[in-house]
Amino acid sequence: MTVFKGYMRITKRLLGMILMYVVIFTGVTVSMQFVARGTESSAYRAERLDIAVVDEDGGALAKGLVSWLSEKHNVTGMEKNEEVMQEALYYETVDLILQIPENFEEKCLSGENALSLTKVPGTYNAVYASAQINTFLNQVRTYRAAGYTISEALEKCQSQNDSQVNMLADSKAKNGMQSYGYAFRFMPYLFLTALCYVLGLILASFRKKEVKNRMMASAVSLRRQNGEGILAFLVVGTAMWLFSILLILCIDGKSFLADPNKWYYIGNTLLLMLVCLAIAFILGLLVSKPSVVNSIVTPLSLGMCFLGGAFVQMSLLGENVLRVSQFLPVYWYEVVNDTLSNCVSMTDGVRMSIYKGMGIQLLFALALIGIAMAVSKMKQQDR
Amino acid sequence: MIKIENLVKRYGPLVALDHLNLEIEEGEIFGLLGPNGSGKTTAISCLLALLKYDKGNIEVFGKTMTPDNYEVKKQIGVVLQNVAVFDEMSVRENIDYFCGLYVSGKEKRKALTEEAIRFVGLEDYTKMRPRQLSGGLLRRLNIACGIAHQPRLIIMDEPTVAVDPQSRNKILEGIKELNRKGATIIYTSHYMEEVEQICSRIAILDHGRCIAQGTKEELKSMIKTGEKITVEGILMEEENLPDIRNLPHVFDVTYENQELTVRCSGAKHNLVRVLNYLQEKDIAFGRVFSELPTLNDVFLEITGKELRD
Repeated sequence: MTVFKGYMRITKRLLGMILMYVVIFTGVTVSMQFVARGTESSAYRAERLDIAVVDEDGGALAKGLVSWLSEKHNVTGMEKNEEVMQEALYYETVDLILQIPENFEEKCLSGENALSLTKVPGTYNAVYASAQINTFLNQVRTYRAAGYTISEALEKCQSQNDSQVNMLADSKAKNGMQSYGYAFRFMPYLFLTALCYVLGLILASFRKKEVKNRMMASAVSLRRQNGEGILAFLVVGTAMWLFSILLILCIDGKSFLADPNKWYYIGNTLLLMLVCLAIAFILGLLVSKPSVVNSIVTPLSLGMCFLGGAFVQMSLLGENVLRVSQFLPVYWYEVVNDTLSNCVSMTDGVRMSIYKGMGIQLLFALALIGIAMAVSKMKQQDR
Repeated sequence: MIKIENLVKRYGPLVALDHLNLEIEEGEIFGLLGPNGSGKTTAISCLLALLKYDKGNIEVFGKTMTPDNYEVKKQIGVVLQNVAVFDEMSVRENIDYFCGLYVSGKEKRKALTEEAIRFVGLEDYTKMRPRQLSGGLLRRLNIACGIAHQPRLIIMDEPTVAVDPQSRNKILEGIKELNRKGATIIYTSHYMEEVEQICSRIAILDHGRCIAQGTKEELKSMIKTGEKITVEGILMEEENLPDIRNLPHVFDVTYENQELTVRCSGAKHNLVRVLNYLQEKDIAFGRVFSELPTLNDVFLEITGKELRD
C-alpha cells in the first residue's frame, strides 16, 4: 500500500489548505443563516402604531376598547382640540387618532359605526388598526347577543389576546430555509474547491513526468498503482463528505436530525462528492503543474456554483442561464436540495423529482469517470 | 546480464535508435557516452520498458524486458536525468516512499532508508523538503531514492547534470562505491571526463547508433592519434609545416593563430623530435603541451565533430 500511503502523506501536507476552505465555507454558511434569521423575525413581527384616543364617552366599553388597544399599540390620551389633533398628525407624532363619541356603547351595540379614525394622509396604518377595532367590537357584540354583560364580554375578548396559536405547518413552508439547508446549498463549493484543489495537486505531483517514470519503472504494477490511487481518492472524498455532514450536525444538528428527509440530503451530498471526485480526477490527469491547478479550480468551482444555483437562488437566474445550467451536475444537486428544503410532505411526485435529480448526478459521475479513464488510457498510449 | 539487439525506436520520421546493439556484463560500470540527442535517454527508457520500441529485443537478467516484468524491475534501480521526487514529502519520506515500491517489510525498509541517507550524506537534511535543498543535495536525494532498495542493476541517466564540482566528485565516488558493493551500473553522460573516470567499458552513441564500444584503452587504440602536441605563441613560416609533417609518426599538422598542433601516432619521443626541429630552425615558441588522446578525440576522429557539438 505504498502508493496509497504516499497519497495520504501528501494529503496530510495539504491539510492546511483544506481547513482554509472549510473555514470559508463555514463562515459563508453561518453568515447566511444569520441574515436569513434576521429577515424572518422582522417579517413576522406585528407592528405597533402610535394611536391617540379622544374618549368623550368614558363608558365601560370605551375603556375596554382603549385597554385592549393598549396591548397591541402605543396608546395615548388626547383632548378634543382640533388644533392639537391636526398638529399631532402633521408632525406625525401619532399615526392615527381614534375618537370615541358620547353614547358610544349604545351606538355600538345597535350596530352603528360610531368611531372616527383620523390618519396621517398617505398612510395605510389606519386600515390595519380599523380592522383590529372592528374585529374587537364584533366580538363584544357577539358576546352581548349571547347574553353576556359588557364586563363579561370585555373579559372574554381580553382573554383571547393571551391565547397562543401553534402553527402546524412546517416552518420551511413559509418562506425560510432551515439553517442546514443553507449549508447543503453551499456544499458544492466546498466539495469542488477542496476536492479539486487537494486531489488535483496530489495527482499533479504523481503525474510529474519524472515521478511517473520512476513509478512506472518500479516493481509495483500500473494496475496496483491506479487501484491504490483510486482508493486514496475515495478515502479523501469520503472523509470530506463525513466531515461536511459533521459540520452540518454542529451548525444545526437538532433540526437536521428531526428532518424526515435527512437521508435524501445525505444521499444527495454523497452523489455530489462522487461527481466532484471524478472532476478532480480528470483535472489531475490533464494538469501536471500545481500553479495551473489553482488557476483552474477557482473559476471552475465559482462558475459551476454560480450557474448551478449554489450562490444565487435558481428563481433569480435567467431562463437561458438555467438552460445552460442543466448541463452541470451542481444544478441537479441544487434542484434536489431545493426540493427537499421546500418539501412539507413527501409525495410520490416530490420523491420522483428527487430521484430524477439524484439519477442525473449519478449519470454525470459515471460519465466523468468514463472520460477520466479514457483520458488516462490515451495518456498511457502516447508513450 | 543485459543484451540489447537491433533496437530501433522512431519518433515519426526521426530515428532515435538505429539498430542499437549492446551487451553489458554483471559487475561493470558501463558508460553510454554521446552528445545530446544521440539516443542515450531513449535507450535507457526502452531498457526500462518505459517506451515502446519499433524493433529489436531487450533481455535483462536473461529475461525479455516487458512493462509487466516486475520480477526484473524489482532488481533495477533508476536515477533519472531530472530529479524525480515529491516536493510535498521530506527527504526521509521520499526515500522511504520510493524504497517502499520495492521493499514491503517496514523494518527492512526503514533500515534501507537510513543506509541510503548515510550513503549519500544527507543525514543533516532528513526533515527538509526538496525545495529547501541545493542543486547538489537534490541530486544526491535523487540518487538515494533510486538506490535505497539496493538493486542489482542501477541505471543512471546523467545524474550529475547542473551539479557543482564538489558534489559531482561525491556522486562519482558514490557510484564507484555502489559498484564495489556488487551493483552493475549503466551510466549515461555527455561528460567524457566522468565516463573515463568511472566506467570500465564504454559505448559511444551518435544518431542512435553505437559507433564504438570497449574499454577506454580499446577505444583510444581505435584511432590514429596517440599523442597530441600543442605549441603556443609560435611564429613560423608555412614552409616549415611539410618538414614537421615528415617527422616520424606525425600524421597531421595544423598552424593557426600562432598555435601549432601536431598529431602523432602512439610512439615514443614525438615531443623531443618536434622541439629539436624548432630549435634547429631557430623558431621561438611559448608554452608546450603533450596530451594523450581523450574520448573526445575518439569521437572527433570517428564522427568528424566534437562530443559537445
